[in-house]
Amino acid sequence: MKPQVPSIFESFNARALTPAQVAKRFVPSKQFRDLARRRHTIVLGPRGSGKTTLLKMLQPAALEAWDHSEAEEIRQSIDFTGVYIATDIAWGEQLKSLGEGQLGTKTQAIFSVATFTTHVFRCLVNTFISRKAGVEGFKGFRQLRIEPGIERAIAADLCKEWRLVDVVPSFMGIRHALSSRLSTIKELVTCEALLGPGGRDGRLAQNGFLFLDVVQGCSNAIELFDDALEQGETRWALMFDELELAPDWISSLLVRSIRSSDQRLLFKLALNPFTAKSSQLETPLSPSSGQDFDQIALWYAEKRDSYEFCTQLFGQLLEDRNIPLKNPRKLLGNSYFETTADDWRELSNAYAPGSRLAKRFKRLYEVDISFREYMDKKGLDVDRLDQLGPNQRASDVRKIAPIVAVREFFRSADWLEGKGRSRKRASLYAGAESLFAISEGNPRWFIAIMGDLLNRVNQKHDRIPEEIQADEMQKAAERFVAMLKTIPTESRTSESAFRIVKSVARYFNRLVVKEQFRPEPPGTFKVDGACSGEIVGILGQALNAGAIVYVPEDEGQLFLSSLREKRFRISYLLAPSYGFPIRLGPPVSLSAILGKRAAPAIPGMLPFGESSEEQADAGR
Amino acid sequence: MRDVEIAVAPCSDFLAADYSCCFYTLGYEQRSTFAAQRRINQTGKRVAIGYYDCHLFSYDKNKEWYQSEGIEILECLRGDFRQCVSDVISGVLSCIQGPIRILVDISSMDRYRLATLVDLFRLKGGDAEINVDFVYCLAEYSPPPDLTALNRHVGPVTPQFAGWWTEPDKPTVTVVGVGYEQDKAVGAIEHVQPAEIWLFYPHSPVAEYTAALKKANASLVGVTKQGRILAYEVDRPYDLFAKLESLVAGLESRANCILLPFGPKIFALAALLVACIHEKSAVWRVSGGEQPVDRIGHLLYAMSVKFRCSEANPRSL
Repeated sequence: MKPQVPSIFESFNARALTPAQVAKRFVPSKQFRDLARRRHTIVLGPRGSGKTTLLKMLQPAALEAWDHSEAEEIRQSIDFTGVYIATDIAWGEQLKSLGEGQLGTKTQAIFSVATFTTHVFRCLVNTFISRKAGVEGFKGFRQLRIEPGIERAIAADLCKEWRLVDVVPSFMGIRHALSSRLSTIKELVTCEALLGPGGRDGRLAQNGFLFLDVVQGCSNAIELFDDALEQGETRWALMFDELELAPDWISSLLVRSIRSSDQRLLFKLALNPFTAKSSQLETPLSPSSGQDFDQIALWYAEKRDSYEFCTQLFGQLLEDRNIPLKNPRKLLGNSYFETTADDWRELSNAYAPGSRLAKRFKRLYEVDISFREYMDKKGLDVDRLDQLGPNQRASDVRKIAPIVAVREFFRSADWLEGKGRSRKRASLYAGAESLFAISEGNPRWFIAIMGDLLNRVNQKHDRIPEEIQADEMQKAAERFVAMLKTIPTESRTSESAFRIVKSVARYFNRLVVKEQFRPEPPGTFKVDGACSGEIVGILGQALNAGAIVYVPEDEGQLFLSSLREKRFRISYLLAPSYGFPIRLGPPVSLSAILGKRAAPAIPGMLPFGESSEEQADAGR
Repeated sequence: MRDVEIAVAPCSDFLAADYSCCFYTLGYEQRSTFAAQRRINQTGKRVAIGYYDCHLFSYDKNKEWYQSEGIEILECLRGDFRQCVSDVISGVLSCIQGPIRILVDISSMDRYRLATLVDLFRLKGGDAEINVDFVYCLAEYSPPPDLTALNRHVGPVTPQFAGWWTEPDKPTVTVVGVGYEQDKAVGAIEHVQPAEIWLFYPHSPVAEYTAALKKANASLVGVTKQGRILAYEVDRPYDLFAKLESLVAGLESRANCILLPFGPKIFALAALLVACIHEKSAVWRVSGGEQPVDRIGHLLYAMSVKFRCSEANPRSL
């Protein structure tokens, strides 16, 4: 019977998992080891790149539950208590909707900051609770025996500090009181919207809790906790997920706090690669990367960089399914682009006449005039590629082999015929190495694709057929495209994240497959000065969604307050849909790509004004 | 300010009943006038709320018909809609003592306007009992609209329905009313990245919708856990409300809910009413991205909703 598994949509949403569930399949990466250092850190990555998982793994309960060969060593090295502070899109929308547009900016900011502060206090109390040793007295990672009397005393002091009244003096009591405070804030907002601005300042001032400082409030609470338990001065990491959703005032305060002298607090902030908040790190007084904090990127510009992480995650998925540990290539096969040991073994040279690669070169040579001209001009004989010296083979043949592979594949009559074109197209990207690249090392996508594939492994553990791999890749790409189409655009023109990304992907496919053969066609793009501000803004959305990937020229500069003059590539997850090579290539200007587009057949502009959209929505 | 109680019941006398006020929609679909045409020669205030522009297909013909019946026309922009309708309701409330009965035809009404109306009834129900019969005209089959245009909005249907989570760290659950628009529900779900998905799958008396729904939702249904796909009959709105309310009541104890009403308008109405009862839950919309389609009326259904001050828990400021 097929095991009951979470759906693609539910399969890897670390936010909803308990610390123990996150720890169950956690694979430590270099980024995690960096994050676990006693340093302020900013983690950058698109949606699904694993920011939440990394932060949640630093909670005491997750570290305690983690069973991995490296777990003990990493646990020993961590000398702080991680406080995970969750945020998500829907909650961000609630903060933005506070007051329903009927409160001024200042009042709205007071309420949204108070809401966020209350949430942070609640998360801190959750961490206090998680540090309490169990009734049996067993003390796990960073757990403490907290006598009831001590807890009551801490709780009473916290109530004073956070202006809570009529609270049962326990950590649980405080947590409930903070939940109630969130309800109270909503009621106050509703009242203020009805009462209007007259006398508002006085009314708000009566509720002192609205003006508590989030960092100071946490610092004081931690001091109370440590002092009561005679811990001395320990360190605590406030770990903010999806900080771009927090009110500006809060994020600005947190960024400034990185430079504070409070040794007790560490800040670990997770952000999208491109947000307006990036500018908060660019003022003269901002903390600087490398000196005041470390920055960690959760994307891989070069596909090979994700391979190790993917291999480990693959091993974890096999273990979950009780499949004996296997080399990924045993189950998924080699990629279409690889030169394998078999290629060398059978004919002593991977490019010997009759070999898989030599045949590919020869087929293309026979059907593609421009390729033939290129080879002839270079003096390369497709029947004697094996006789080239190692250096020339490397520079003239191996370098163009991936381009030849894609070009030959798409130009073959077999592919052009009839049904199942999308599956045939995706089958080009089957095999372990390509599949890993397609996943972008993004845990959410990796588990979505691999999870379903591994559920199909038979009892003999035979290789998973290419067409099945192609199906799963295609499904993942379709879901990704559906999400891209959902990204709302604020512009009143026809541009959208999906349309731009599709244009670039098709352009790269055309360069490789349809136009004159070029040994090194562009595979990346630069956002040049001719691109409008609107295009640049939309690209920022595409970057945060993971549809384009930043290829930094300088590894030390990962923050993007502007995308201009920066280099990007299209996510390899879209390769099965659009048929471009999964490799970096030289950059081309984005305006040159977009300038060659045809006008959309059905423009995205609203042809009949605002209510065209309204009435279309009405018609269901 | 007072807490407002909402009671929902089936409704069958909407074609003959007397109403203090009738709200119709003046849109470009033929079905805009379907309900009003079956209620001619009625007394009371009657208003057809139109759109400021996009006067396509049958818009002018519908407008002419409403005018010929002496039905007042209000053509307003989205930004003015709330005030326009609020003024009309206040006018009616000021003329009548005691409970009032209002008819609202939601068939050609967009989700933003529907949410605004429900919110206004919720607010004004604190001052007087308001009984609203919501009428929905199921359209004859038309193929799914093209989705080549751009998406303009994904988020709360209006700020009033953003929900309010007192435990933001709880898992997010989406309850999706599926429609026959390819990729829309999948895209919205991917955007929200919920921990859990529940699907409400419509069964329509118009058979052609069944195949279109199946095609559009094959991938979504294929990956949704068994037991989390709940069918509902489009022609039984009260049953839908009861089922949806019961689900959200159960989920709220362990999760934060977002209702995503795609598909028949009646699901959007049910979602909004449920969110009035369960105020922590949010109702979202994904708008834009569709080309206009003229729809022809076919069958009428209705549901009665009572908005009144809660006697159990009066709360004044």
